[in-house]
Amino acid sequence: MITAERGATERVKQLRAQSENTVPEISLERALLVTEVYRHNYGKVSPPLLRALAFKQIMEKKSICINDGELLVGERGPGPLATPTYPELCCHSIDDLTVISERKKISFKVSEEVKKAQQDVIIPYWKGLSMREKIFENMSSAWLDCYQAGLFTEFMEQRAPGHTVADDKIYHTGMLDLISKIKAKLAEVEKEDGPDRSAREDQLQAMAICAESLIRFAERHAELAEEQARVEKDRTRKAELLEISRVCRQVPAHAPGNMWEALQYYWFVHLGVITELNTWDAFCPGRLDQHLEPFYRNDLAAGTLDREQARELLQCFWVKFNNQPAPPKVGITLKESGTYTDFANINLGGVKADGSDGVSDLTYLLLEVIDEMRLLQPSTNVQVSKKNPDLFIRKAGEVIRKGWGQPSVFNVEAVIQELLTQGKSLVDARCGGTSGCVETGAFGKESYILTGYFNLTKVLEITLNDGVDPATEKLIGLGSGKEVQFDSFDQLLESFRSQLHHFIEIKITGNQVIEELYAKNMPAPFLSLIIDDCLENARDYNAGGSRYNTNYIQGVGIGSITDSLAALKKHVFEDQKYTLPELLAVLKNNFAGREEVRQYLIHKTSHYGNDDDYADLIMKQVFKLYYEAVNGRPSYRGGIYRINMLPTTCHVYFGSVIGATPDGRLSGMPLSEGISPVQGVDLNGPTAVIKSAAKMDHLLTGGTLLNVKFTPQVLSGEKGLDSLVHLVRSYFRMDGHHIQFNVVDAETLKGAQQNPEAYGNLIVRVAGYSDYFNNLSEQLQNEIIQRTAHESL
Amino acid sequence: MKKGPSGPLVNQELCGNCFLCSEFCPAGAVEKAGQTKNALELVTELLKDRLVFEESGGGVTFSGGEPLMQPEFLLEVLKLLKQEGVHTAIETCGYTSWHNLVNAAALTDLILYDLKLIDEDQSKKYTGVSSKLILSNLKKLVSLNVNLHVRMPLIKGINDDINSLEKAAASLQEMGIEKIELIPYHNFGEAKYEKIGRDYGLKGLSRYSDADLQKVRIILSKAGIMINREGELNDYSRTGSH
Repeated sequence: MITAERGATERVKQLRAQSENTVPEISLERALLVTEVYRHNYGKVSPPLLRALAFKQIMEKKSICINDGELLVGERGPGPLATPTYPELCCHSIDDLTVISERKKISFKVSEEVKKAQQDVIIPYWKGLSMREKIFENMSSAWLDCYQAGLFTEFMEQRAPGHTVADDKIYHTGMLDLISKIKAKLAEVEKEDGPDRSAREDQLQAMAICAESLIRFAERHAELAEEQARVEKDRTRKAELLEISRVCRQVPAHAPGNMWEALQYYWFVHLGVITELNTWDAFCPGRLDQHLEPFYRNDLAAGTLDREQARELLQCFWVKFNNQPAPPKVGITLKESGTYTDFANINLGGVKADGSDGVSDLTYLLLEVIDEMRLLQPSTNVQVSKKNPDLFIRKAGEVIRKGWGQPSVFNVEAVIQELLTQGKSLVDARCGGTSGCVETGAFGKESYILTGYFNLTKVLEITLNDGVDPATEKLIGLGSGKEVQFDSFDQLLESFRSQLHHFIEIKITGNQVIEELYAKNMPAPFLSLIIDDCLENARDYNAGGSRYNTNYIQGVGIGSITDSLAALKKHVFEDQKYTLPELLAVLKNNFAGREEVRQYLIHKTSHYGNDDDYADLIMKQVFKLYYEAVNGRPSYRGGIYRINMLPTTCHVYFGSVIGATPDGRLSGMPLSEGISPVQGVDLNGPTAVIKSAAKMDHLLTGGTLLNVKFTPQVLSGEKGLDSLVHLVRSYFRMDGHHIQFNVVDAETLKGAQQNPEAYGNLIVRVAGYSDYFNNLSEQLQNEIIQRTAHESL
Repeated sequence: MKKGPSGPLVNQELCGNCFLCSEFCPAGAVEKAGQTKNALELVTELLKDRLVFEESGGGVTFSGGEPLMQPEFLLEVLKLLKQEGVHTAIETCGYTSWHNLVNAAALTDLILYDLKLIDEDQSKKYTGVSSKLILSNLKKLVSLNVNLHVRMPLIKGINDDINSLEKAAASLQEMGIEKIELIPYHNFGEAKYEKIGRDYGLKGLSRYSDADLQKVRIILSKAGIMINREGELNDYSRTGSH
């Protein structure tokens, strides 16, 4: 696919085009290097040292490159978009590789050579040893039944824990400084006489090896740059290569002294984290504008950098992220997260450590950069505080309304309160933010692992079938599969509560085993260098070494389950229009021959998302039950379980395993996503949507996700930006956590014309006036479609 | 009831407005729009959006139909909202007793006065009523020094010819009104008329283009009337909060 040239300079245009036009490809180089280290050392050295040796081997031996014209260097694979595999986590079968290369979406090129090496070297060594296999071997049959039924997913079955973000530490600490700290700590540990002394020593030694390896990795790039400079004819490029070489000898060994060095340092650290293990959500620089601002200011003052040069450096940085697609996923992991995006989600704005306004000129420059680059990765979001000027939201709105999906918008005051509620210090909370999709974290200090999506609506389906999953016909819940009878709606909810606890118990019991497997077999000594207080605690990131440890289970389908319960409450228990067995029989047949029942359920039920307490209070009840089932449970590594409410693409998968539901949803259709209302049923405007959503107590979560759809015209002009500011500020005043604006295109509107039922909530701007799309005459609809096609992007 | 081209058709002559059909229709094809509420119930409902008004600097606008058709109810609601500190506006055509209007003016923050036709004969022809009361009310309002926005709906071929516009400008100046807003005709109502099975009297009438509107603005400006263009745009939250 050839995309339009974007970028401020010729250099950026070329690098961006390379990133966009290169087909992602599997590289086995990392897998082969790791296998070699394991073959020689497995069982001879402790796991942290083994992992450190594997890291060292990769950093010293992997092919490196400096792409034409680039200023920031380093790729995870041998070249851009060459993507490694992690057989120690997930050892792909030859069939897997075929699927990966042949599937229509999210595919990777797999050469015959790769297949052969996988067959001859990787599979023979790793078969039975990968974490994926160990995990499935160690799960109970109850867990496996639930997993197959689609009750929940398991994040760690193909990828490692990660879910953390860098703080500002690296910008004033070189790897050599960290090594000194490790040595000092080692001297302390040597004097200990506890049973875990040698394990603690090994962990620290492993961390030191990793720090040295990253320095070596940078030096190799310095050497390559010098080599290229020697033969470079172009004087400008020659000077650039020499500068690259100088930068790579400065960082990561030492703290950076200017913006170029700061960006290159972060990039080496990023590569370190995503090379060591295939961490979920890759890694992320977090509050990039705040971290870079002192360097930017100094460079400008010294006259060594101007705004345009800073723009070019940042654009080169952007390309680097886009060069690293999420490593190939298979099976349910692909279904729950079907994207190349690896969820590096840069935070802009917010507040500083002292609570003051964090927006600067660099924030605005970064907003310009993301819009100029329009890349899948990295994602970006704006952290909006009451202390930030409205101008910040307006500038973000100017990008949002272009409709290419970024940035999303977060509520700083809510995020801080969420973190404080979880026991973080005020400063750690202020320096935190959101990562991945919407997850709240104390950047640089917390391991906040997402352990899997949880299918709330499926629990209702099983409740209504007395413990049996209708799809697999297995008894996996409480009960015996007989016809259910509830005297009241409250009794139904109570039964749902019992089933919910039963399934959460199964999920968490499995999680504990998986956590122990990771803590014991798959430490992450490099990541442990970056996240406080792993070094001070002489304990690995994956074993609870971080200052804060949190485990999340992500609830999916709150809109669908709410509307389903509202329908049952109204039509079965209150109006007694249908008996429960009668309605369940209709659902079982997927409304076949009973379309009038489906229509009645859709049109005569209060739906979540309309600021109608009938449905919204049921949403609150379900939320409370879910919160109580999960929140506060202890995790294996000494952390706490909490909830958040986000779906990625899992609402589609979870919907595919559920039959017809009482909200009129047909069998297999997607569930509602995030905390958004069921698709198309919110008919009272965006104000009603945010008010319904705000009835959930967001501050008890570690993140919620709300999507609102608009056409570009609704947000056009200064008036459009005013509306955006008002909507965001209102939602945030009600403690809403996150909102993102899905600006629809002409194709979507054409779909809405064909299928009005699904788009009942779609508001379009006509002429200084907005109305529901469905309310307009066909002629007017066509006019809007034409205008939208013209105005978007 | 039978199915029409874009939904059910109701024989309005036989319909007794019992709305049982809307209760029974599973597809929600017939909908009873509107609810009966007393003043306190309505204010409770409106105050649910108070936080949004506060953020946007907005408030509650009473439009129509004609809010002054229910003067006692309107005054009661305005009074309650005033006590709550909520900004209010009323949108009126001015065809009401001075007594009603002056009482409402005392309780509201803004009056949006829609002046359709000044000419007596035209007014009778197109609106069915005389313009005398409308104009005398407007004159008195101007002298009261209330926050008043005079607005002129523009309907092609009816009140937008140079002659009508110049006459209107002269009358406005005579009343001491120097600035108005224009409300160019749009046909968004057409689909709604069809839905309730009513004939749309202006079927086929085209909407204003920017160029059409500019012509009207120039004529009025030359005649000494300033145009406040802010009122031509409404933000999307109107559909959400009103």
